[in-house]
Amino acid sequence: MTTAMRSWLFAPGNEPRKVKKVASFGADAIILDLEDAVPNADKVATRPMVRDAVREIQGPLVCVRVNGLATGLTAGDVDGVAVEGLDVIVVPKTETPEDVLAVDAMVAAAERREGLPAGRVRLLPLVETARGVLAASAIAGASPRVVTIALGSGDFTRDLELPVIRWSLEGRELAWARAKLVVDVRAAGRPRPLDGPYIAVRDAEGFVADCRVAKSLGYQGKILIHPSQVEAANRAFAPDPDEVAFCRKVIETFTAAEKQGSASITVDGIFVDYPIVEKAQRIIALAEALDAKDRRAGATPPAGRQR
Amino acid sequence: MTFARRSLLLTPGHQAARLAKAVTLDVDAVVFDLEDGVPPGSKPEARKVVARALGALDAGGRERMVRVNGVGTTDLVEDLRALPLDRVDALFVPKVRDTGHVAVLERLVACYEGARHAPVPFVLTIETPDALFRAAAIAAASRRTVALFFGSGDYSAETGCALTPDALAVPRALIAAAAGSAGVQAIDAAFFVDVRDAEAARADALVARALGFTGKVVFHPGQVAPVNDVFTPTAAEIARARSVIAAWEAARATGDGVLLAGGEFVAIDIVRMMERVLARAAAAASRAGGR
Repeated sequence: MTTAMRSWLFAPGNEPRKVKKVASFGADAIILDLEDAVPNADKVATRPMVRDAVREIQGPLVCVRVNGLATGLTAGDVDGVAVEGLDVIVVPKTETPEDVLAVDAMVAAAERREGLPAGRVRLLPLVETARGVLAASAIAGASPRVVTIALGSGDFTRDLELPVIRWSLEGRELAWARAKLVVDVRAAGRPRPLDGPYIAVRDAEGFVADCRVAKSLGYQGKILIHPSQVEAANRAFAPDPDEVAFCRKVIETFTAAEKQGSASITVDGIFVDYPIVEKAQRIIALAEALDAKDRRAGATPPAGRQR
Repeated sequence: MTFARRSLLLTPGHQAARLAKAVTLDVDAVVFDLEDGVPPGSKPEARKVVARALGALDAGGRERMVRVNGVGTTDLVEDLRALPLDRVDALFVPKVRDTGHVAVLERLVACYEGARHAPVPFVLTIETPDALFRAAAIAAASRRTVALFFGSGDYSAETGCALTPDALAVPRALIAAAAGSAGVQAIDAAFFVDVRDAEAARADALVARALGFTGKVVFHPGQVAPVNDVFTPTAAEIARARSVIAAWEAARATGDGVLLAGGEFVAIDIVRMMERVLARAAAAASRAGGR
């Protein structure tokens, strides 16, 4: 995963129609759910359906959310879906590094049994309790399989016993946990974290505002629960076009100044030295990588990023 | 159910005939081995043989244990998938290095034993110097843990420590202390220097008993009788324990907290030691009665 993974779209594993379509909306990653979106009575029967879908789906990163360790279903879920084509197991309700290591062991054994290359299947722990948030850095660093961690904001606000279902648009209830997770996963040397879902699926404006807050805090992308959110998320989590333009100007101006023997200048009133230039290069590279990716996928690059 | 764990017979899991023989010997526990006693290529076969033996053999009241592969190996996951855990009385776990290992083990076992089964107990092996220094925390890490086992063979391989009573005194005492601090049993390795020398096995068991161990692994049928004997309180020990406890209770009834019994100073600490003797005697007697 060399570029940002902006949009992670869920589909309930037991609904064939949704599973069939989930890869067609331009999401960077799709998550087939065996957990909360599937009725308890259907969970075991859903495994072979998800297994077939994992083998077939082409394009996005293919993820499966298994049931949590407290359910006793995790091992059967992992064994049922760890086949060629599976990229990531999403581990719900992760609270300790040992939770990750237990699933890691199941995945390693399943890889060996299936003849998959060791380390092929990665893990995405969902942190969705106060305990999990406090242990996030240890969770992120628990295994080399961990891609990053995701904040399960709905369950987290429930665990905090917040007196609201719809938190504020600026997300002040989640601000500390969101900021903490970014530091935690970077301290563990992992790519930036993923923000939890925005549950008001018809509120497009609120969704964009929620994405902006998460992006500004350092999130690479967001868990999505509705296909209509994909395009907006892909746009919101890509570098801002104005920012990219400024980065280009920074590099041009700095390169010229460097030739004149100066390595610390100002551009439009902003102080620039080598670390700032390096940051500008990284932002441009990310924007270009995402453009190329969207073009390969045949999707129209989100408006405003066309040049 | 409290098991006496005086003698635990470790048997390679890939040899069906030896598993069948094990449940005929006069041991408190049989330990079917899926770890170092089985060549790597034979492990899939051993899992089948052990699963079949657990399903079919009548262990006659002997505790049925399986030594699984270590935490962090994919073999452990395959072991847990293959075993009928409702027919396993305890898991014997090698190479436990820290409390994290115990925590991962708990999660894995819980996933494979299913929700309806009573939690399977653990016997945790301390056999590396790093684990020795963490033994107390390891012993206390899970409510499933019933005993610590000291693997002196691997320990000596890592430290260069000789396999003599003097050289093993400190690690053995630390294991016994760790087990005592968590209220679990301490079980010593087999005397493997000369497995056919029954008297040497007895002498080695006496040293372990003096340090606080309540049982030993055995490798050879000839080791069974001396080891059971050493870890079974004698009639004289039982009688003395009963009289000390009776005398202390009588003294306490009159308001005294200490007394002299036959020239011996007795206080609550001695009483607890005597109670432990009686508990071991009762566990041993229940084994004898179950045969």
